[in-house]
Amino acid sequence: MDEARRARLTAWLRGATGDASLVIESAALLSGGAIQQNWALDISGGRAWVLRTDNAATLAVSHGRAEEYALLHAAFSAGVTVPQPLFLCEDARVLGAPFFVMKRVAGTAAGHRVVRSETLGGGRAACARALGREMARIHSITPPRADLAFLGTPPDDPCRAFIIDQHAALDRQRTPRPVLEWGLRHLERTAPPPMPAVLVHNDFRTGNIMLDEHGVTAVLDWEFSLWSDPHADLGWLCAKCWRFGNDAQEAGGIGPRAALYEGYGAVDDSRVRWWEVAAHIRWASIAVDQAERHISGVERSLELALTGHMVPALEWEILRMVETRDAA
Amino acid sequence: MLREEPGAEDLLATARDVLLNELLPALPAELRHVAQMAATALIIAAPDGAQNRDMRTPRETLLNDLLPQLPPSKVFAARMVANAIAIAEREAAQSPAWQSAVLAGMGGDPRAYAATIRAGGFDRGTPGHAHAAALLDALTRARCAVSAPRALAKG
Repeated sequence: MDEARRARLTAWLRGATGDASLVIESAALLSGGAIQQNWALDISGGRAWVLRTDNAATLAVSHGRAEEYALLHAAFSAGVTVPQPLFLCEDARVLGAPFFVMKRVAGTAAGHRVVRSETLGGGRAACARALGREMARIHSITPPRADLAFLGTPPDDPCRAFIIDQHAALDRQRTPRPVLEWGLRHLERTAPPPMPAVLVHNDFRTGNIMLDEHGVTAVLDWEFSLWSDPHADLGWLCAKCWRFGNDAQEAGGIGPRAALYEGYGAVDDSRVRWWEVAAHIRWASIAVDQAERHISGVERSLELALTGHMVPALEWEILRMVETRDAA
Repeated sequence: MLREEPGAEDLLATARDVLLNELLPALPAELRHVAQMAATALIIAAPDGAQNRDMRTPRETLLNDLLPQLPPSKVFAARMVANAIAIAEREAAQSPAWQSAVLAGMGGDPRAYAATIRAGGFDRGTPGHAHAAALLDALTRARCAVSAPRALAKG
């Protein structure tokens, strides 16, 4: 962060806190977030904060910082373990893009490290149960909510709405994706009945969950949240593509599926399985979009380029899942 | 259109940029010329065409000689470079014949084929179902053989 931005940020934070002597002791760019920038701020008086703002190129499907701040507030009030939201700045003149500030939380989120650990989150089964409880708290947030009006009208049939969204995403892409169509057609033919939509985090997976040795310290990255079927979150977490190679632990590579369900409460397993197929399709479509940012020159990046090469393996998994489900 | 993008040329050029701009400055001075040579090897086409370009040597140099000397913060980037080279190697080694076979199986028009799937034209119980399932398997096998061969081993 250059001196001019830092000075503008200091002035803004002094106004927001009412602390005229506030000083930014250090500002360090944290790793993570292909879409966002996260800065660790050390503020005078021993305050440890995180500032979250946008990268130059952002995915059109994700919420802006103001919306994410509102979601964080709603989640915090519902008892979800999230970093406490502190201040929102929608004035792009301060940093070049809107940003918000939240309390900094300690812990480990990196997927490959989390799935290898037997002790993080209080141990595998305890952690999976805790994740189930967190998810149930998120799903206690139901429409209508004036503070979440930007989420739009909840769908009458969340599964149908998912299929329509994914068709639209495929129609925007440069190349046809017959295997993703195959998977979506299967989902269409096997869709469970409508159920009332609730707040779904929509990226609740290993890598976005911060843990320490005792439990969950934060559920992160709320930018994709929407009104949908609560089983969508359970399916996203359990999908094989988000187990970081630790396939035996079906809840995100972290712990047993049964423990997750137990912590959650009432679960319709067949709906979760439907959403696991959906998860592979959605992740493949996102991966295509990310690679497209590299190919189109919007953001040249080896990481984005390689993300595109994850698509064939996801397609293979989709074909195998459809085959197995059709044979059952 | 049937292979996953970006293709080998783009991957190698992008990998070379990371090697030169991100990894090389983090290496001990005496190893920088090794990184420089590996980077050059990635973009010099062999006289007899891209298929015979030696990508294995620069990849092994990176993994065996350079990676152990890099700071932990650069290990992920180094592995990405090696992964990109490996994908390019597999693309160069793969016969492109499958593409015309799959394309013919789709009646020459993947977009129309995808639309037929969406419309239910190859649903279970339709005459075209088994052919479509086999064709998509063949397509995905060939794509995984370049992008993610380990996925096939698991399935």
